[in-house]
Amino acid sequence: MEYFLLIIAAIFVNNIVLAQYLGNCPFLGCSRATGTAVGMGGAVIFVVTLATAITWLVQKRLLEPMGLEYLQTIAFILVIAALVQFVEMFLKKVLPPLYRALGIFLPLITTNCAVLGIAIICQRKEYGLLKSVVFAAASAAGFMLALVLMAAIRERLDTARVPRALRGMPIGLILAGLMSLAFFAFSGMIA
Amino acid sequence: MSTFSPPSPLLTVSAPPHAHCGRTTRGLMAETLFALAPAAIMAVLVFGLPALRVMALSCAVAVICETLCARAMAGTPAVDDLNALVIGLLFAFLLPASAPWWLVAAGSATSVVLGKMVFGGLGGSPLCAPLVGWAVCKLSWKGAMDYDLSMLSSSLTSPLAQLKHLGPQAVAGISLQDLLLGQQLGGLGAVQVAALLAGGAYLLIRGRLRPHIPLAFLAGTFLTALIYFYLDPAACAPPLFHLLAGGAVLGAFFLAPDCSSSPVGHVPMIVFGLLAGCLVVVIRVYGVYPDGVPFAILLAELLTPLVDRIRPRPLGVG
Repeated sequence: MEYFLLIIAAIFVNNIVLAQYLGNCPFLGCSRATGTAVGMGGAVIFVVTLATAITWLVQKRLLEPMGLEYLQTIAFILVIAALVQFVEMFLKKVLPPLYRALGIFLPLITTNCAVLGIAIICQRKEYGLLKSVVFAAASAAGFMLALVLMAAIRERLDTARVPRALRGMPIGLILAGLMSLAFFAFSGMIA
Repeated sequence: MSTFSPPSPLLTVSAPPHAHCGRTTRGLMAETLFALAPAAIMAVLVFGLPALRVMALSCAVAVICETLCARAMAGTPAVDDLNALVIGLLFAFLLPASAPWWLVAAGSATSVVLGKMVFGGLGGSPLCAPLVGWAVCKLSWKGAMDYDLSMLSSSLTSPLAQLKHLGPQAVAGISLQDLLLGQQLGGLGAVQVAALLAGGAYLLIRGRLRPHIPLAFLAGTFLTALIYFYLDPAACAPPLFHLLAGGAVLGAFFLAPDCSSSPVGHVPMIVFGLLAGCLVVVIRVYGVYPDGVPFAILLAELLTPLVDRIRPRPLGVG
């Protein structure tokens, strides 16, 4: 039950994009087509889950025993960057179409603040290893949910007569704001 | 040099069908306004002239904003299709009768501009326009949008707020007849349940509203409330109370079936309605907001494009 609430809270109540406003870059940049969004979401779930597990170990086994907590940010970024490189090589070999569809955004996961954000939130909240991994996977699933919803709506907006000044990124930002408004429905549901 | 000359205007023929059944957007909006009229009249009878003031101001601001936007956006169709009036009236229906003028004006303008015109006007919006305005106002001015706080002089109370703060015993004494006749605090038009049911039935009989979404919405609300009531009758209000209190009926017949933001297929419409109805009760039970109807519809509308992917398989494919 504790884990169920944790997962619901991470996906809906504290949605990483729509309630905490992390990871907006790929959220806006990678939401043109639903297929790409699903691929990007999958890549983010994979990277985030792995990165959180490894950064948890780095923090507890390496940084804290040596009294190097002040290196947290830089160490985490290093781990995440290395992981993303690994995922990139993996996708290039195994799923070339997805690799091409993701394009520049795969390397951008490196600087996706959602990845670093989730890893650091786990440390701030003093979660254990298992709880951190579950929280990370659920948060990334929340990211994927927001991304896929956004992509589906934007695909539909391609046929709307959006004023020229608002086409593309501006209407995407407006839409992101409206989606965030709708997600306020979940606020306060789970403390 | 281009080898194609631009098409001559003389030979331009509009796309078929060339015969027209006479149904227009303007006609649909006029009938919607007609269906909303009983609720508007009931609102004035129950809440007095302040309700009329809110509705008139909201409609006027909506039409003015739409006109200004259409002027600014070249190529946008004319604004005489009455849609702005419907948006303004529906937004007013969600407000307390005591809403100050700036709240009405700001919300109505937000509904039209942010909910409709930025997406290119009629038919482009992925979210129901009046609900966008409502959500912005609800989150920006909590006190002014709180039905109990803003209507202190009224002897009525908001049944959903009582359910939220005092528990189901507090609402056990409220008769369903009172709820039907609008003897409750809430959105000034949203609580005129009997009048809205009459309006909705009129639209259904005239064939201007397909029954899938309204019925699925009400069924979703009823069934979810029934499950909660069955699990713990002491902690939850009866299902009929959930249907008649607050804005469930307005949502089912007028907000959820919003043309541009609801699905079009048969199965998608039913899924959409059930989902929205279910979310209404979930938000009422777990959320911090007494009435979950507007948020539930907004959330379901985010899923519209995905739900709409449920389609019959084309003949001869796969």
